[in-house]
Amino acid sequence: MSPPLSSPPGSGYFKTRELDWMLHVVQAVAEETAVTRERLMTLEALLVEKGLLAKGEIDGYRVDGAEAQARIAWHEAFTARLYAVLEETAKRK
Amino acid sequence: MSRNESHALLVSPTQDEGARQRFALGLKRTLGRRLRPLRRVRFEQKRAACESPEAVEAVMREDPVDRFWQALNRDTQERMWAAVAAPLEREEQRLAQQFRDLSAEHVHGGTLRLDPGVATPSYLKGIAIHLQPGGYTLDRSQDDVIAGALYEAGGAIYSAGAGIGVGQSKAEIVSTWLAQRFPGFAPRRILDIGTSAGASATPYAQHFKGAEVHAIDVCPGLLRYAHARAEALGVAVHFRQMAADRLDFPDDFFDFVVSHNLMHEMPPATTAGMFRECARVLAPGGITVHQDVPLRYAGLSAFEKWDYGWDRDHNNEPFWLEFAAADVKAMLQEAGFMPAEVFETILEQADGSMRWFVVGARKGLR
Repeated sequence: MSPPLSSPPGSGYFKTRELDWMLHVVQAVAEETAVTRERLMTLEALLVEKGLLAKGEIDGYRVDGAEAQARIAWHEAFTARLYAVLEETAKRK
Repeated sequence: MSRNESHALLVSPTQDEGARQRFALGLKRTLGRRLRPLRRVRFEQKRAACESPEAVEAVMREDPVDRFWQALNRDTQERMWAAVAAPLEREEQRLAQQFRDLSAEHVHGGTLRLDPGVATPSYLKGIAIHLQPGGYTLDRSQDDVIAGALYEAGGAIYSAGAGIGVGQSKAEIVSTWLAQRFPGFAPRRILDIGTSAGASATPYAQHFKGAEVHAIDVCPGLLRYAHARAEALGVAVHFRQMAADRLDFPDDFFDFVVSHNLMHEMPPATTAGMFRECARVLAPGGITVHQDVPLRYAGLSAFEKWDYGWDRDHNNEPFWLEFAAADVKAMLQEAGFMPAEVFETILEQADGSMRWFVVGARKGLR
């Protein structure tokens, strides 16, 4: 299907075109997050519907001890990947 | 007669497709209800005395909050269309087949007549009104119905985003009002101009039982969809490709000629031509009604004119402001209706969610 014919995706709203692009990127990420979140809602609803999970069981799940430490380590690795560009740039001569 | 009747051409989105549409909808609501009012807040903070929308623009041009809102609003409209288009693209072949089947059978008595001799009006060429992908004129093959499918699916989402009730079609609102204003009015021949997906033509055919209903548009992709949709609903409507201001019907042929949300999508000169044609094809005693958005310039502040003007420049509504500024009632008189025959009113959705502007005339027994 052809894209809108009249004008390219919103541009010229900010002082530089890179900022226009950045806004599209942020919106796309927000959309993917929302879609993923909805899929989880559906998954939870199905599990409750089929009796595999009680309503509110996920919200009531407590993460502590070794499991909490493992998750913190996961967040650390994730954010390191997120900002890897800084490290890579700094290392470059 | 609700505006979202179920029929065979509607495509059911998957979970993720539906989530994308709901995301766009939620985002549109946030942008419209919470963030758009910030435009006024920012303008008032500047304490500028502006007499015209151009003066407001000069004051607001560099405002970072407003620039950001504009960028978000535009991106969200594009995102909404992408989310509407995805399921239709997925089922494009099935929709084309539905069109072929339904138009071959036309067991319900409806017809479709496309006319390659009808030129696409210059104002529709190369423009995607409200950013609908491909525009209304999208017409890539002999069974391309996507323009109509996008129009109907997009309209449903747009209305939901704007909080407009879906319990009543615009045709039902007008029919109810006609019964009050002109008791006993029972048209035998009806014409719906600029029918798009035919979502008003079918309720009129259902409401005025026994009436012969004709519906025209200039865009083949809309008409194919409208025809298949009407057949799928089991309603007889005669669809033809024709320009609003060049009707190929005899004088005094119709008892009721109507258009919905059309005037703001045409140049005022075309609207004037349409009114002249209405005066010609209406039989004495016949009624013409034109419903549209309740955007009237008279009485608006410079700020409001500027704010409403956003859609013209960023949502491809080229005639939005010209329509808002036009004296449509006077245009009907210039088209040949007598002053006493012309009316103008505001009609409200039964649930109070939206008001519509209505103008029209009853042709006298001359």
